[in-house]
Amino acid sequence: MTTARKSLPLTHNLRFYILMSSLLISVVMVAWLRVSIESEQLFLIRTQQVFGLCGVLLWYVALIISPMGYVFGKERISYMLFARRAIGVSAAYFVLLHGAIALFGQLGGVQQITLLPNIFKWSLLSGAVAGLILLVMAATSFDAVIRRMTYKRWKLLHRLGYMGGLLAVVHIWSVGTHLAYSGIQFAAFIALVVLSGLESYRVTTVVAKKHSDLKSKDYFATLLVAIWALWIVIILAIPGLVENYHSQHTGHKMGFATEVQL
Amino acid sequence: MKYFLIVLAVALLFSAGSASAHVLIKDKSGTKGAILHIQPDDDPIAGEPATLYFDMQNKNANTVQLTIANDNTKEVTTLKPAKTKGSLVTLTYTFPAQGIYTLTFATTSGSETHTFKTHQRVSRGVASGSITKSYVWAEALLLGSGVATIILATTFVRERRAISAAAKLSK
Repeated sequence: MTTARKSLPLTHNLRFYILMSSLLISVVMVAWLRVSIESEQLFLIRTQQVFGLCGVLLWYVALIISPMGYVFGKERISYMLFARRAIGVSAAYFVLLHGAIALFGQLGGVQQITLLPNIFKWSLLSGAVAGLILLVMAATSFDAVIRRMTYKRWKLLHRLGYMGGLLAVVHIWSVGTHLAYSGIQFAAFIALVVLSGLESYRVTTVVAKKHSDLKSKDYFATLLVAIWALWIVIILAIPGLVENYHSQHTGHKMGFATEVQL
Repeated sequence: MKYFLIVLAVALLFSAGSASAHVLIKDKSGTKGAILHIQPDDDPIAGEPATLYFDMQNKNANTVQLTIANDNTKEVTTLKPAKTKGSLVTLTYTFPAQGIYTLTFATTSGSETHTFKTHQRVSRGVASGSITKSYVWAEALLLGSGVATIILATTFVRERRAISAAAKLSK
């Protein structure tokens, strides 16, 4: 729960610097890409890709902070816990820019979606739902909203961030051209395994608090490994369950994903 | 952890330049869409072979013909696809020089013909002597945001103790 800060100057607020940095990064990226890319089409493609990447990276950081508190102790990561709200809002900002450029810049309007292959339509839908969840979370990131909603309901709403993250993964996997490269696949897999491992630890800790018989080391470790293994199976199942459009027509091997497809 | 993420982000950001994307192009009536993807990186290199992947979303198309017109020299080349797999056709072409090209895909299915047209700028490889565009607004933005970044960084360093104290107070 956030302690009210009645008169904290902006320049003393870490969140201000995070939000301003995000704004500056977006401006610099647009300007730099415009200066270095002549083609209008390629400029829109690269801008949309970069903003999508910034959005997903910040979302990942925002998601990983909470379980890190359980592993390392909340006192040790107090700065990150305080910064998390601004990181989440920044993620929503970049995701909004990514969606706007892709829909109105690249596609030329929402009505053009009807002309896309089905895989793109489903991918855009999962991306849109993920983006909407993130925007709702950003919009409810104010102390006044938390007080009005009550902390319990607000926390429940923000648990949707994980579902949004999963939908974002589906969106990226299905039409993201980067993920046809095995190096990127491997990095994404490691990132998801790390996040799921920390989340599994958090869930196991919470369950063990409620059920005293699970507090013994053996039971705790068994439950942790079981939950984490389940997450890894889900992550590995994504390439088998969700098509990747880019690899269908290029020479890109699915590489790592092919080897572990179920 | 944060340093690992920063390094990963930078690595992925630079790798973003080596990836490609799919472009939706419409036929003349605006009712049919096709997906075009050009390698390498949707940014072909003049003087080197480029591969064009054209997904016309119509498995029943009998013939596909690509016409490439150089907007500068008015030279026109007609190609037939090297490979067709379902609705996907693959063609290889070497753009002779930098410049803007008009790509026209004509697909025929029975008595129906659909024409998809798009423009492709080639900005790498063999130069054509054409004048490149400059974007003054973008250069001004770069300069302005550079100054703003310096001001923000300076303020952050100057106020770091107060920032740290404020973050610790809040839970």
